[in-house]
Amino acid sequence: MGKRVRVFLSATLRGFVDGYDPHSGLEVPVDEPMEITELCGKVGVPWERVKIAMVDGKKVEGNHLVKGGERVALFPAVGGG
Amino acid sequence: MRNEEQVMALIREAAQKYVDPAGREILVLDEASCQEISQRCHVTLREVHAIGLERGLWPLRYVRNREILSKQDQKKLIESSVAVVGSGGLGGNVSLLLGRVGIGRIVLVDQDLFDETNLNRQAGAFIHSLGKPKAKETARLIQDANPAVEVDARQVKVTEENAAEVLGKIHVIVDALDNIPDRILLQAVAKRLEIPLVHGALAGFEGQVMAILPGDPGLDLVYGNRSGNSEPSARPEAILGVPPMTAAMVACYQAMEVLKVLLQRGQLLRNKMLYLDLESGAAYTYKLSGGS
Repeated sequence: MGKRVRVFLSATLRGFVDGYDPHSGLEVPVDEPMEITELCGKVGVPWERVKIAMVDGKKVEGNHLVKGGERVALFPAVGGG
Repeated sequence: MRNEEQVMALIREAAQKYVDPAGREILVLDEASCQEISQRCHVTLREVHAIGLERGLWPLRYVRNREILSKQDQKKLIESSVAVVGSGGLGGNVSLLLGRVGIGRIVLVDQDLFDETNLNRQAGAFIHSLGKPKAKETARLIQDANPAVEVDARQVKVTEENAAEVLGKIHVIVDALDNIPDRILLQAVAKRLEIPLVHGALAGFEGQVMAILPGDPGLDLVYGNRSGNSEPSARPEAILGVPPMTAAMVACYQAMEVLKVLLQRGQLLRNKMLYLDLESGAAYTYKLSGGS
């Protein structure tokens, strides 16, 4: 079994993935190190809609490489009150 | 303080024994006695409460705040001033919590009037308050619950120009606004006035909370410089809505951050974002600074 990352989507980003389950997130194979922007493309979330990307609880930029085993969380800009 | 000796004498007379649910006997002052002392001695209700606490007497209305709050903590809250900017879904709930816990002075800032779409979540929105100013209606609600709170309702929008006057002598500001540009302006103002800011926002069943002390990057870490999609129609809260449970949940965390700042207790959500997802029953704290 190859390397994988688990991707969690927040708020409106969930709408880009049919049948997204917020409890389990998405499991994405990562055969080679992959930038966050590319990962977004792979799961179908437009990078321009992502405001914050987190890897294992820390904020990263779009060029951050995931190698497998990480927990990735993606957020849009939320401002409601 | 005026008439302190007279206040003390009346407080001693009014002291009653009270046995709490844990079987502990303590000395308390009930609301009617405090009101009477306040009127007779021409001191505010919160001054009566503060003097009582100083002498080891709990106002009965705060007795269920102990032991988690000490007498010194409670007195510190009574002597504190908090501004809640926005009297909507977050602000209404935050204000009521702060009023009930015993913050001495609360400034409510909101230029809007209540409308029917507010009825699902905004603490001050009732049928009878439709069309009326949010700040004023919410102020009334706080004073119904706790007349010891000095509430100042301001029907204005915070701007660079009026900030020092509206937010003067404030110990903590609560960001209970409903859009990103206004939140960024409020942060700039808080930074300039060197006042801690407690941020909260929500969309759907998800919310976020953060404490920002003067000098922290704060919202720059949350909203950043990347433009994202800021079209009103693309805003998550516009698409997913703002249900009451999420507003109340985020408001609870915001009120708690206010207490933590004022009492210098616990772990502040500083340079971190607490992310809450009610539907998944999940809460994560994300580190926003020091990333790669």
